[in-house]
Amino acid sequence: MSRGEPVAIRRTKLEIIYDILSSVQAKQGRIKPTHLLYKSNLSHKKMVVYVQELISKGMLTEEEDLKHEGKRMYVLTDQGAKFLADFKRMKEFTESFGF
Amino acid sequence: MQPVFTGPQWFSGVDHAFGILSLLTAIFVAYYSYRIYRFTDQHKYRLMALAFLLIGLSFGVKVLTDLGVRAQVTEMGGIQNLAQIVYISSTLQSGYFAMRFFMLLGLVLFLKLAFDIRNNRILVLLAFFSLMVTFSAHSTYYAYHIAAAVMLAFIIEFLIRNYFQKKTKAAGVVVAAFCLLLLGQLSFIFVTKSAKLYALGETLQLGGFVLFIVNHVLLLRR
Repeated sequence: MSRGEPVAIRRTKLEIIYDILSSVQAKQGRIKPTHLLYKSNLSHKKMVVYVQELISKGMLTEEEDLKHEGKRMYVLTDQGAKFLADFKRMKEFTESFGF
Repeated sequence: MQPVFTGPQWFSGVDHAFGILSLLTAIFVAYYSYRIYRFTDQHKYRLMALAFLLIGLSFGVKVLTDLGVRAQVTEMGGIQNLAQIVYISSTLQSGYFAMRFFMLLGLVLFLKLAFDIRNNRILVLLAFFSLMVTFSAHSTYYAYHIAAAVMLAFIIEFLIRNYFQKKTKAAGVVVAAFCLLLLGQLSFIFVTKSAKLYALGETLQLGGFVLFIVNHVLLLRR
């Protein structure tokens, strides 16, 4: 790799989860699957795996889109919002030490 | 026999309270770091927890040694013969050796984290030198405080670079906290000039730990 070339940094699983949940939160807690796919920067297959895991852990729920019949939306739960707040706090704490 | 400095009379007892507060703060930060380790599964936060735990342990050992010796002297009705002097002195020295070794070991772990030392041989070497400074130096008191000050200076250099990179209030508070710990060590080095420097050193050290809590509170309030 030559100098100045952008370095691709692999996200950890936790960072991917954080990115997914914060994308939902940024859309007032409800997001369309296509928007989430775009925001999370994942393949469709991977996004589905992560979303299913978050649903099973109670951080997201899948609800019907009230505006568009037959379409689904992902909704951030209180548990998901709490996870996000905890993660942000921990991230800032660890960044303050820089280790 | 190694010198033991206790500071001015009016400060007697206050240093124990400071030590207990520093111990509690270090344990709290260690616990939070461990929680982050459990949350993220990243080994470095377990090391950070261990570093704070060792520093907390160092304060704990110092307070226990001082209080233990004080209780023994009271029980004996004061020091009356040479055997008692030797006994008290050896208790103090053992406690202080443990205190210094735990503190230096904690700082070695911070150095590992700051400079990403992956080679365990270098880590063992640093731990060995810490042991040498604690047990074998001609004057362990000065050797310990100078070694701790040098280690803190290196850690601060890393933290300042981190501060300029992140430019967050929290990173600034951490730099200030470690700076106070360094100033505390410098005060202890020059304690022979004035007994008040012992009180100043203890106060600066406590100030450093209070800043760790301030950092945590600032993050919680967001």
